Amino acid sequence: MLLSVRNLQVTFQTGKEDPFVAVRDVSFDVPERATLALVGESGSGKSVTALSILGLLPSRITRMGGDSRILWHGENLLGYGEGAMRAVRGKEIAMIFQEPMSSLNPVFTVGEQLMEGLRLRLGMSRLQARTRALELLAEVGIPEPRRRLDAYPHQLSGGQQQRVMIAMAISCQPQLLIADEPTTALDVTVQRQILDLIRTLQQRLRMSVLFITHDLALVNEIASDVVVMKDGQVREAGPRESVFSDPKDAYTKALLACRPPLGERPMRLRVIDDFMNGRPLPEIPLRQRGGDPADEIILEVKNLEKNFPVREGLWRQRLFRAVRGVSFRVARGRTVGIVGESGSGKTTLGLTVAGLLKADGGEILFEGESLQKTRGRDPAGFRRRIQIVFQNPYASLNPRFTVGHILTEPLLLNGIGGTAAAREKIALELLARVGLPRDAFIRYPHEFSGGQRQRIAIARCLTVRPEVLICDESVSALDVSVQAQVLNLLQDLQDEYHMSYVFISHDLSVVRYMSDQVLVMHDGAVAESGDADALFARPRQPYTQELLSAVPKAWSR
Amino acid sequence: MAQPNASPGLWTLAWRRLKRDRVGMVSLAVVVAYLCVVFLALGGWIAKDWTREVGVNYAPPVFFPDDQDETAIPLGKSVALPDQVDLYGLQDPLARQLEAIRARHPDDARSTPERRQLTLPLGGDKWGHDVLTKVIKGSETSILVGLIAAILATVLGTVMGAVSGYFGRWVDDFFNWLYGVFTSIPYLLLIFAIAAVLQQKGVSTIILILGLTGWTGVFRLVRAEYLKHKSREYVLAAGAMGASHARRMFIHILPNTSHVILVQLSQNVVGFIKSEVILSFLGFGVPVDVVSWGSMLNEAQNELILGKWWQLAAAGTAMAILVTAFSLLTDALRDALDPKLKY
Repeated sequence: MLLSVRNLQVTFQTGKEDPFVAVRDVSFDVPERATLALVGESGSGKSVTALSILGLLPSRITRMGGDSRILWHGENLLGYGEGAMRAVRGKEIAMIFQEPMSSLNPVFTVGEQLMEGLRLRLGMSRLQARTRALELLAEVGIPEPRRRLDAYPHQLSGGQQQRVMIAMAISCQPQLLIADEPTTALDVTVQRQILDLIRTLQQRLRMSVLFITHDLALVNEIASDVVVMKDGQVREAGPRESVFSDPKDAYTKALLACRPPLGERPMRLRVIDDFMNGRPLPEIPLRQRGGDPADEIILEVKNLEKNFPVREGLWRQRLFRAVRGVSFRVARGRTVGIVGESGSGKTTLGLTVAGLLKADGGEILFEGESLQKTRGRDPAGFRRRIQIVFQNPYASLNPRFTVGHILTEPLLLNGIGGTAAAREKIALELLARVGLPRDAFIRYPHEFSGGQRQRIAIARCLTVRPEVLICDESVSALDVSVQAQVLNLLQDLQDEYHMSYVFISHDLSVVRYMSDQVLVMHDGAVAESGDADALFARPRQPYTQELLSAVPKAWSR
Repeated sequence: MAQPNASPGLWTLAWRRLKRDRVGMVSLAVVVAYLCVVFLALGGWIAKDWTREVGVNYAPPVFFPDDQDETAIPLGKSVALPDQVDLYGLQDPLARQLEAIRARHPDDARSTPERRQLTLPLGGDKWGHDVLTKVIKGSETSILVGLIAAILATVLGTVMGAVSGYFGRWVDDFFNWLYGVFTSIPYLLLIFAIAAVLQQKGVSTIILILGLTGWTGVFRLVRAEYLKHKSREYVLAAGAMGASHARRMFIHILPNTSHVILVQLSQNVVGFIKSEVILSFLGFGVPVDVVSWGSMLNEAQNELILGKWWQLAAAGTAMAILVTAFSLLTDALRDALDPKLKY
């Protein structure tokens, strides 16, 4: 066995606070030339486990349990000193991280960073290191390695940066590669390429991979064995096939079920609680989605253009066309999904439609009236009737306001409710509606989890009773189980208030699940649009086809 | 989440962290003590009569004086007795006439002998003013100047930084140009120039000078904070809700930058107290009828030649203790308000 983790227990103690047990009694094995996936949601202890293997946890606040052992070729790494550990790190066990941009030093060229490791660890000369660095870049599939060697990290795309990180990791031919969410920050097509790269390298270099992810679909693609973690404990472990086809643990079952299925569209997604309380699962009826020509059109976007000036040199300015000639219609009570990779202009489109950016061309019609004509003053309250839920639940709530303040402020601004007591009553009702306790009213946003904050953000939009809700990657930052809850909430609210949604996401299965109509965006323009089911079943444009084929295939159930 | 009472806000949490910082609490106590002294002096309860000449000239500092430690100067200030000779063995030629005048007016206040202390707790100056009282009165001037000027500069810097960072474009260009102008001229020169333009000496002039020149640091930081925050999603969301620009700037963003502003304010107080001292020392500061630490140091310059060190020691020590305590308090404040910076 290459690596055996036995009874790993990691406790964090900061200041005088109670110690926090991040990992308790975790054991697993990584065989030689195998890929083990460590799966779990945020806070499950998967990253802490990986970092403790390399001894990278801050020693000042970390306590390892007495029985904990990390056996590397049978030797306990926890007994190693810092010097001995450094010899293992990078040389025998290498690691790549989630954010390639912050893992690379921006002031050194890619080549310098690659060569540094080679010269330090393998004692190569400058010339040898440079030759080897070129080989490595070619090996990880970077085009024109000779030119890229002297490029700075910011001159490379996210995918290429991650390739460089992989090149650095494999430069000393490690026996184990720890990959901590290596594709989470990347677009789906790039993710596909990186996964393929890791897989080929694993076979060619005969190494093992410890793949850490929150995404079960990825695991299905790459791993031979799976360990499912939750709250610092192992919930289930075993070969991939058996875990996927016959999950034993309720939590594993729930994780598998709460992703939106690609084929069908149930009324609501199953959530963790459905499985954890042990009751038999009720059948969920299917939901019909799709357009109807008789639908009342509430919002129409015609040939929308949005440009950003980009400074070139000292004086010259170039226009970057973020959105070019986009048209679509939103029917009352329906959902238009917008998919695209990063940089496709989908967020700019959402902000422009919400009135937070000024359009440079085209028209936005709300109930047939142009929004651009109501510049500044907004007598009919169109602005109020279009609201937006943002991606990052940590940035979208003012950290200095209590939740009560956050919810009552829009009421005050729009003259809803009249008295302070009435406003408070409305806010409390909305809190209950989005499933938060009453005492949330007097709390600050930082006391809530990501999913709860997103509920607060949704409640804030609901205060002004919008008719169109723009969801800009609103569930992308959330764990899958929380994602399912928020998606269910959004669907329930749509049924209840008959709102229209513009649902923007890079996640194709989520968009497919939520939408009646779908717009595929590419480089600021619409690549393809149509009824959700038809478009996903029979994509006509090559770009859409590529996008769809890159989605990690779900297991067959 | 268990307890039903309201969550602690930013300031409560910061206060709790500050309370755990021993150095911070000690320096806070020192600063508060100084402020109490300033307050009492301002109200006229202490150090009101600093102009009274209570001691002999250059009375040496003694903390526990003897009972006889008092001298009666039988006559008015500089009038000698008829049989008295001065250092050079000369008699006052008018002494006899003056004695005659005095004899004719026995009830004249000036003719009653004046009692003067031979020693004073912190010594006396050239005229016999009590240095302790002077230091207290000087603290009042210096700290008030520092405090008010710092508040003025911080308010100016905050408003300009907020407007500049929030609106961007030409507004930002304008304020940046202003910032460039103010920072490119050497600080003291700028102060001299403004002092020359204002043409009058006085405490309010110094406050104005320091306030008008000292906003640049706050401006730079607040502008950067606003640049960062204006595109945050909570501000966009407030915009989507119909919040006005002023509301977004001062109700939504301002509380999120308040820790930066408070630390800057605190730093400015220290800096401006020092500036006031420097200005007064150089003679550009407070007028002659006002005492400040700076004017005391200025006087001490000449006294040192005579070996009279106590005025320098008193003013210097008082200033050093306050500035040190205030600087330590600033550090503690920064740690308490922004715990992330520590690690």
